Amino acid sequence: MSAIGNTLYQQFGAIRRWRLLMVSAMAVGVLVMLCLDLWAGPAGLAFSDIVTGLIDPQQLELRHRIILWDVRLPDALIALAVGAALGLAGVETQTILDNPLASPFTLGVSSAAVLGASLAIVVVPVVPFFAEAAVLPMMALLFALGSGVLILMIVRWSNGARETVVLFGIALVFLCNALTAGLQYIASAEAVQQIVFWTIGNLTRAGWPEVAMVGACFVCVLPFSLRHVWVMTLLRGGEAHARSMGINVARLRLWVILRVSLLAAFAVCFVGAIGFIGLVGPHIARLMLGEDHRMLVPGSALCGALILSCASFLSKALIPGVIIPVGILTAVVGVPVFLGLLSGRRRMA
Amino acid sequence: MQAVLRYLSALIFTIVVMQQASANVIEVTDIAGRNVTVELPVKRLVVSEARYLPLLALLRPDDPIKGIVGMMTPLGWTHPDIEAQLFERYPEARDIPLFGGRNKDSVSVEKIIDLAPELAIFGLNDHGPGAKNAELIDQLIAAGTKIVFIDFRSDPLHNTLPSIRLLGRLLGAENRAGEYADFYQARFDRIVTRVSQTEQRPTVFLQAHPGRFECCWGMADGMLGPFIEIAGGTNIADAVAPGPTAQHTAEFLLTENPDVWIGTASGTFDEFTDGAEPVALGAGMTPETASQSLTRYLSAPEFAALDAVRNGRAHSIWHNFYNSPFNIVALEAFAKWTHPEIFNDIDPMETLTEIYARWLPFELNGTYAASVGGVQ
Repeated sequence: MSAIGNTLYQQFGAIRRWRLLMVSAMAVGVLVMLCLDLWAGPAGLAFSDIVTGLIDPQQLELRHRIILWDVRLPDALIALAVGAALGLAGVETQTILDNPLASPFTLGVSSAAVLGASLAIVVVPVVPFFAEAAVLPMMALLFALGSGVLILMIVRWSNGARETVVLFGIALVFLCNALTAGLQYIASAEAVQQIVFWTIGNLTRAGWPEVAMVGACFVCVLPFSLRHVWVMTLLRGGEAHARSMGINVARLRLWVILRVSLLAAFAVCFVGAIGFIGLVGPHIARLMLGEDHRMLVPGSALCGALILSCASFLSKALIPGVIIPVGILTAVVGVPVFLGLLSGRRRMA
Repeated sequence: MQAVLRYLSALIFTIVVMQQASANVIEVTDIAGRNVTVELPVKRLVVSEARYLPLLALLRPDDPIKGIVGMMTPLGWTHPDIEAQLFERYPEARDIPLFGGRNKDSVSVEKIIDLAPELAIFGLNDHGPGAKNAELIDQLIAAGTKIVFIDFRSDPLHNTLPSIRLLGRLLGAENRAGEYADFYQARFDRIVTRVSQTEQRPTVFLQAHPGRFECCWGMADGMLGPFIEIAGGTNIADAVAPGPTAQHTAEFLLTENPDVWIGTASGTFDEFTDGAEPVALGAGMTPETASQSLTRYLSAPEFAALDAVRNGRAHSIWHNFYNSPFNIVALEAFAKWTHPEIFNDIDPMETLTEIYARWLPFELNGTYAASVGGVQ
């Protein structure tokens, strides 16, 4: 018995060590990608210049200082913050709705953000005490949060029935898309173009305040997600199972969807609707780490950050001097990785 | 009774003969390369964007809206100042029916057919129906409307004068079209000649919609982009952009550090007074406020560090010149800004003033070009 127990324990230990190793590898990957992202750009700054410039900005000449601190750093960091927020939001949505196709976007958060942004572009409202440049993200944020509030009301009203939540979310997506299309119909050609660019998603529009806000949102939400990793893991065994263990699933659903709406709203309101990461980031992490949320939650966040950072690097590196909006590249980067992992798993099975 | 009948038949005969004599059918090749036969004079016509009205006014200053039975957009969307002047002098211009919204998808073919135009003037590639809208073209032709395409937007360098001459022929204003074309050509040639005598090619970045679009959409080989080369500059966006326009990072600008920066200002006076970001020019703007608007935009750190901004070689040009028969003004401005040493005697605003004074039944209001810090 003890021999079998030992083997089981050893196997568990091996799996645990393997997963820890994978998470650490992802973290290292994110750091490496951040360095690459900071290094890429037409200015041809040497890596040593970047390190010196990061430690002592005054040593760089003015133009290089602006390039490093005002152009490259905020873009690279917002990629990490938005990627991590969407990865985290994605894994929590998929678990709480027990639906592998769910993502923060299924709940209508990003479509609502696009609608808010389009309204700001077409109507150009003048809001007292707000700089004009801040109105657009503010409207996007308000609409995204508004859709979150609606979803939360539905969760409460339906007592947490997940089909109702998903269907309502999808209905909200269609409604917001229709209203956005309606706005585009009456908008000038320039405004339509602006809406299209905004919807594709682009990191270059972010500066330090945006990095701080998205980062702060992620840092504030993460501890609550980590606190729930045990019950979320339990939920993966099925809702009935979790209930029988004494978990109030309806209440849990309310809290998780609140977190997800906050994360997704802040993630998309500054950079535009960068899709895909919230859907596939968690799946990539799941293929590598399994269902245990102790590893899966940080893993998904890291995975999201890694994909978006990689896309950000490519958006600058593919055609030097020209920016390819990162929203176009996220799927181009993520799909091969995803397919590779899927086929790898098939071979193992 | 018989006398009356004889008189009437004689009258009808005369009218028919007169009509046949005046029914002058011409064949033209439009800018899309299509051969179109049109019966002159054209009595009923529609235009896509109302921004072509100033050109129609140039050709027929006595009655700019003569024969116009419909248009896609009201003039006020692009030229509110000219619209106000037009409405004041020709109140019936308010009643010109509209057959669409702001883009080609909003056009109602049925409405156009209902207006029964003999001729439709569309832009090759403007916000209205283009040369690729085969279905709409076929339907209109089947309904008896001839369509000609003009262009001041896709390739203004090569299509501006042919478009003007084409409309001149179709509207029986060949002389006026020719006079304006000569005026345009002389100014164009002056620039080409002087540029050919200098070896220098300063680097230029031409940024579309500063303040409206996020940083930094460059015009490469599309729209006003090619004007940079004619004006004797090197368009830095052209070397890297895969298409007619592309988005560049602020880093690209800082690295290339162009000698001259030019923004196409699409902001309006109202937006400027609201404190909105788009760099503003046009009606209502004074040289001071125009420069103020530009200087405010360029005070962001990534622009302030550019040599062009520091040396006072950052300028704004009215965005609507990108689709206008008066784009020679933009070319002159580009030339003057790129080579101040050889184009010191040229004043683009004087050219614009002259165009208005000689050809247009409207008054010129506002400012259409400006420089950072107020330097010209």
